[in-house]
Amino acid sequence: MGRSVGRRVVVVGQGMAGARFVRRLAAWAPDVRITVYDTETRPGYNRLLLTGVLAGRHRPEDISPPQVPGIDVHAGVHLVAVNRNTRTVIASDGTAQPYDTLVLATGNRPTHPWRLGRAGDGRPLHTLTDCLRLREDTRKGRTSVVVGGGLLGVETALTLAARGQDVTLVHRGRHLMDRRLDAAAGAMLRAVLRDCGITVRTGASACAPLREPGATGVVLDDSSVVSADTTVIACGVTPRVGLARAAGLAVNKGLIVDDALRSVTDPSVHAIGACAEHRGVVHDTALPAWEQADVLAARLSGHDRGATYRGTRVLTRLAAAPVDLAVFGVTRTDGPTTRGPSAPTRPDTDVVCLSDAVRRTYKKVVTRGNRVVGGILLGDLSTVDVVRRAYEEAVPLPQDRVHLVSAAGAAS
Amino acid sequence: MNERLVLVGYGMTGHRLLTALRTAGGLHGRQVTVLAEETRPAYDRVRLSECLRGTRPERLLLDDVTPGGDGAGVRVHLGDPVVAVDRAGRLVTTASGRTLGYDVLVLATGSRPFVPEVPGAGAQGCFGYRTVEDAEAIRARASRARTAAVVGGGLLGLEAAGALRALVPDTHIVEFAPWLMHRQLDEQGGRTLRRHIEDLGVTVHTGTRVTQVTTDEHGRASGLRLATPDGDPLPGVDADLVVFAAGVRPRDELARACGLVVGPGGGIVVDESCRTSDPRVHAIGECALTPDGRVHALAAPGFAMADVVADRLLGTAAAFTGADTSTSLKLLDVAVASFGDALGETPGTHEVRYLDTAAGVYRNLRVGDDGRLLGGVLVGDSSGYAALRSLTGAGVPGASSAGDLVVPGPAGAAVAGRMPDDATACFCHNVSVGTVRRAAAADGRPDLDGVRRRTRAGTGCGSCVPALASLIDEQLTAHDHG
Amino acid sequence: MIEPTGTTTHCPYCSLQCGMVLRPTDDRTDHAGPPAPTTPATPLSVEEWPGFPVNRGALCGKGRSAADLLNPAVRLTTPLVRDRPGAPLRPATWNEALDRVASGVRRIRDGHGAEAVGVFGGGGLTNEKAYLLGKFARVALRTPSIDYNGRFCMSSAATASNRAFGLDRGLPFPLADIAATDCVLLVGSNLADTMPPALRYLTELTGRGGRLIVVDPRRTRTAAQAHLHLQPLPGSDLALALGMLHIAIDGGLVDTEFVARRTTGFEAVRTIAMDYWPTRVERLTGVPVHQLRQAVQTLAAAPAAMVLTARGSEQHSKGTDTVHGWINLCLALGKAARPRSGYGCLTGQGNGQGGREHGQKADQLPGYRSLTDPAAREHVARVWGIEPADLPGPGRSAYELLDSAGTPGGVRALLVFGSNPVVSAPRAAHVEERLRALDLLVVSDVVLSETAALADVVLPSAQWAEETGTLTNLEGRVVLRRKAVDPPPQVRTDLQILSALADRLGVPHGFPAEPRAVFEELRRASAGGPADYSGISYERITGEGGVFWPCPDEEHPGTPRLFLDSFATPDGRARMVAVDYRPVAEPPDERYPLYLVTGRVLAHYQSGAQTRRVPALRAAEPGPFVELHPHLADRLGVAEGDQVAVVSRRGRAVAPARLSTAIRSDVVFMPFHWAGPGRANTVTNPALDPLSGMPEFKVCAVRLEPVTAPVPDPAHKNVRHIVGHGEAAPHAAAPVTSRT
Repeated sequence: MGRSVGRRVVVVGQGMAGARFVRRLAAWAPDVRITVYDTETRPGYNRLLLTGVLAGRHRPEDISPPQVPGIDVHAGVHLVAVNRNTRTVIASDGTAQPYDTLVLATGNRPTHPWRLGRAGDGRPLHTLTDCLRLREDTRKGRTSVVVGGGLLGVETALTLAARGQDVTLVHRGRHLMDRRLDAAAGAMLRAVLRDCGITVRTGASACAPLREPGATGVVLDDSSVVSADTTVIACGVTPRVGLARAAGLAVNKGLIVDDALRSVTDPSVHAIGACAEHRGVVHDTALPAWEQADVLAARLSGHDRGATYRGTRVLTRLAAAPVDLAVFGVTRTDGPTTRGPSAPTRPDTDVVCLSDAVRRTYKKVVTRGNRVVGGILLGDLSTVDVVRRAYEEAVPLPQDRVHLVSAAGAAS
Repeated sequence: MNERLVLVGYGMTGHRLLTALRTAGGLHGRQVTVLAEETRPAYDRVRLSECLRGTRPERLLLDDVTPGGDGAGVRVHLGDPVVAVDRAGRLVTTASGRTLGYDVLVLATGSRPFVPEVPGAGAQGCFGYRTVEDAEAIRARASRARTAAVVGGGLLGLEAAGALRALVPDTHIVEFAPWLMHRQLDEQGGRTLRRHIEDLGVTVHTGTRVTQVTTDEHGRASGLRLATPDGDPLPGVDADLVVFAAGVRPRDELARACGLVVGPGGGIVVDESCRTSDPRVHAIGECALTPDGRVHALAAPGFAMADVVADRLLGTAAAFTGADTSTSLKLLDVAVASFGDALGETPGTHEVRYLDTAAGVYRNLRVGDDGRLLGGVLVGDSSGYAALRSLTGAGVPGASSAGDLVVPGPAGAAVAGRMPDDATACFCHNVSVGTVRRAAAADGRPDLDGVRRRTRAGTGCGSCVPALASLIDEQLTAHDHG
Repeated sequence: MIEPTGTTTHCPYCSLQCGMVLRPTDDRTDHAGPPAPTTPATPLSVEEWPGFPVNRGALCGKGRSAADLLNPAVRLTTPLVRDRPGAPLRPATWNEALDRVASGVRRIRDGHGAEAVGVFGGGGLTNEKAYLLGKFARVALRTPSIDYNGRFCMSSAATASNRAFGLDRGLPFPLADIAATDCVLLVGSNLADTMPPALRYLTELTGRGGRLIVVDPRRTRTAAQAHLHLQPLPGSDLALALGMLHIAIDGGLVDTEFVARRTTGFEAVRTIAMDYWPTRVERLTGVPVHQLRQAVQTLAAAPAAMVLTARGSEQHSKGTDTVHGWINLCLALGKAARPRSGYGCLTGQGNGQGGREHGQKADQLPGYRSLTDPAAREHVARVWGIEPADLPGPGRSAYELLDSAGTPGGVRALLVFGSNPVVSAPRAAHVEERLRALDLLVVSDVVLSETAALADVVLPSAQWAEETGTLTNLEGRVVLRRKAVDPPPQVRTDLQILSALADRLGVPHGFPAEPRAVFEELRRASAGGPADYSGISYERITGEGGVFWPCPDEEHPGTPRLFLDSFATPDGRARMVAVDYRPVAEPPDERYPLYLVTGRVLAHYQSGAQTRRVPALRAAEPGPFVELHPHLADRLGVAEGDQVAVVSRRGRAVAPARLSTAIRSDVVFMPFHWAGPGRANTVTNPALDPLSGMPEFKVCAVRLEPVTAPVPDPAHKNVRHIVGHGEAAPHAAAPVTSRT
């Protein structure tokens, strides 16, 4: 038990990071007093399983782990202030709670392209509530438009299409997932989506909801209209750091933490998950959140006081049938200044790439020296383990690199 | 009376015609005369760059076909080009004043190097690149040159540059097209090849035209002025040796002079049987404009045309229906291959690409909507080439797909064993895989020579020999297990 | 069943217990009646016995060459004793040898208590021997200190099966059912190499259109047969099983009706499985998500399916939990308790199954009874004619027992029967050191194994073809291995040895030397227990091609298929035990960046003490090797055949490199059959499973170091030496490895 850190732990948020942290901490240090504040009224749940709820594979209660006994949970309550001098948090219900250690796991919030609120404005797919509403909407309507062609937008479009919706995906960038994929992969992904019956419009910005009598949908910047029964907003996320910022903690994109996941401003405040910025990186996926939660729980409980978080080299995955996609690190080697597709931008940068328009697969691994620095695996992930290890463990590559993109080529 | 056959030109194509006739016994009962401009008997022009490297020209000579059995002889007059054709009188006249009558006239006059019309192109130190004499002259000059520039980044130019780089400290290639070997390779292929060439120390200028050959006070070439295709000036290069290897033009002047129909861009117009507008006159090889509207400047189509004429003379109805323009070679130690619809000109093709920039390997296969392999480009690693080329036009075999075949190494090579019977094994002689299999099966212990004898497969360019070997192995294995 | 002429018996090696016929090579056809036992000078030939249902005549190279083990040149033919520590072993009479043992045991018992005398048995011993050994320990020695090498084999699967089903029998169905099911998920078994005659059931399955999924970090010959090969990181099988369950739940593939009716515990299992979403599992196991999905869909779609595990999944510090993971998956998909379906463990050793049922295990009594169950103690004590209170309680598990040797509070004397822990135990150099520290080490074996070479007293014992006894194969089929020849004159059976020792220790009754008499007592002792043999007789075994336990009375047909109506738990339902993944005991790090996996090769069996002495097998696989991926070899600058050292925190093993693309590039493999510098178990990790006591043989962290200096191979020296011993002067002083 980390008595030096304190016995009263206040946790804000019970999303992926917060819920995991509480479970770990309670298991390793049963005598610590844990208080949880969560703005959602439902118990914490596994966000990764939300698409399963949308697809109707899970009941809402299926994706919530059992509540840890002995934890003081304030659901549907948000914090209005942190008083770092008195080490007290003030909640929206007017109560004050002293802490020895404050753990912020406030996550992120969806970015909105316009003010939402009225029917037909569209809604994000972020919370379980959003998910249940969307499921209801898609039961009533037949057509949907998804605004935003990043990872979440593509995933949502595929899920909706699989539910029989007639889907249009509107994306501002030149190609799908343009912040992660190169143009060739974006084109291949587009072809895959087209095969799934999804209409993709790139280079088109949705600038307003369609507000005409009897018609819903979105209006694009070229004044054309995509009408749809349901509008889903998937324009990215922003870390929730308002509370931290107001408390005078150092915030950049997220709350800045060190390798102990401590605020660099106040060692009694910690942050994990999608609100934390570690070494300049804000992770918004589950695996880093769990790693951070485990490290922090190990430190605070005394289970492993020396545990540190050194960052996660994570492969971003899109996993909505029938598309398999992993993308990580440096992938864009086709900047406008270079000579053509797949051309390395730095002299020490090389690529090995296997692209198959027949099978609709695109596999590309970017290397510098003999290390993997990034890659895209689209449509065929049979080499994902080899590539992941080469990336995460920074194992030097052999001369022969076929095995990174072809399982068939590697086996002989 | 014996039919009088006059062959004008004794290059590789002409030589092929004689070989084909002799193989089929067609020299018998014919009076064959060869009238050649060059002073050497037919030689292997494909290996011309070896001369640049110092190989003695005699080593390039092709088989002597002149001595015939049963009184069937071929008369060859070297260094005595035909200067006029009297079609009405069926007579030819040579530079030395020789006059010969013919029943059948075959023009195999070949081509000449294309030299851009720029100032200084005729200066001392500027050379075409076509004949042994050219090669010897270039070699002589190169021994004193400090910088060399090869104009033309196609096959010929690259080979010339490769040979020059061992002789001249500083070698450049200047190519008008945006990438090297742009007739055979796509852009990424050209770029991959370029990296290899540059790694060898050759400076490559693509998308560049020559605007002038500058000369020194003795009128000798000293450099090139360069510009973009649009004419914007680019920094020039020094060059005291300039080699023009930027393509060829058909030698059709004799045909023009005697009133045969010639294409607007040059080339003697022929039909499928390689007959010109005069039924007694044939044209074959690089001087002919074939019904597909092209002048074929490669050896294999020339051979095919020669074979067609030989078959016609022997009374069969062979036709030239376009030739396989596949190329596979070791260019400066870089494997480069291009086959079938290499550039994906067929509508609706899909690309299956493999690129490894560290290894300098690029492979691109073009696949039709129906899954058939249409062609491809291989740079840096041409493993499986023979098998891939054989599969062109046929379905990709078994459970594999182009995605498996495009990967270099065993996966590509292994495909030979699964080739369908209707795939082509030998393109030179259009022998199917099934024919090779049957020939191999007919021999108790099949070997390459036996299969060659029975089918003619592998006796042309030889590029299918690995595929034949694996088909023979397949047969041997079947024996062992049966 | 039609009996061929010659002696029908069973192979000395693995748990298939393939039927074979032994015939003197000069056997004349004019023999009438069953052939008389022949002398050892008469070599036997191994022939097919197509009538035996398990292998239907098929034999592997080990079985075919088994008669070579009878060659006097390769075996012990006289007792050996060591006069003092450091002295060489010398031949002795049986009286001298047994007196040495008895007096040593008495001295140590008097000085340190009964628990200071330990017994270490083997999974190759017959049921009769295993039974009598357990009784010997508890009745004659009165020690709790007994365990056996089966602890290193399938104890994890046994523990999990007992907890989940209330009963542990390797397979709950005959092997032949495998050919008739629709899908097999085979986890951590390379049966193409380890039990080749069983492969036919898989090829029959796939020939019929059934699906085969193999889980193995290496693309073994077995994995190469599979429709789908999952190649996980060593030690990650539990995460794999949890991930597959997650996908099954996520995809609505759980057989909820079956789960509700026939199992308990699903909700807790489900909660944990929800934490194992596919991409997390991919990261933990290295198995791509699409393969996970494909495996689950294939398994779920099959009308009938089996999940079979072996050492690859079990020999871990979380082996029991891992087996629970697979059992949970099997149950959740409803692939159990129905024909052609179920979970099974492919037991390894010849009598791995029977050996764990009859009392040589630290915590068990005959009939697979628990040593802590008062009713069981009562029953067995009555059969043995002692007071239940006089029965010792449970003792240390195998590695703990060996680890305690020569330490205060540990055993000071150890009697080893049919086991070679110097080669087969984890952290073997340490185990060897512990054995050297004993006051008395007694080894009964057929050959001078590496362990026997350390002993104070070596007792030459009879082997498979020289004595009769029953074994229980992986199916739970009790078979009769029959005597075909007499042992050499100075060789005794283990039963004779135990009988003589008990006599010298003042327990003259209750230790018959006749197998049949021991078996009759075993029947009574097992009666009413989970593994009830009371209805099984030598005659029935011979007449019926083996009898499946439980068989509670002579009218009972035996039980080829278990659990069809009910599981063996009090409420008849299978237990789904909520297990959570944890990493391997020793994860790779910067100093030891690779995983070492150990295992077997086709030509050898276990510690190799037998197979290394068979010329044909030695020629097929002469020595150890280190299998590694060419990419790894490339990085280390190692070429095929180069000597490489596999170094762990516990030691180093040196062997030539063998390059293979069949292995992951972060894993190296070593077979464990050899002693000397190439002894794989010098390197392995003795981290134990808290429930089963199974050491983590299958994975530890190592690094590879190229070795430049040539390394002598004493394994070969040993072989030559022993051959010389037998050939030249069987009674001369044998200059074998001395104890210090």
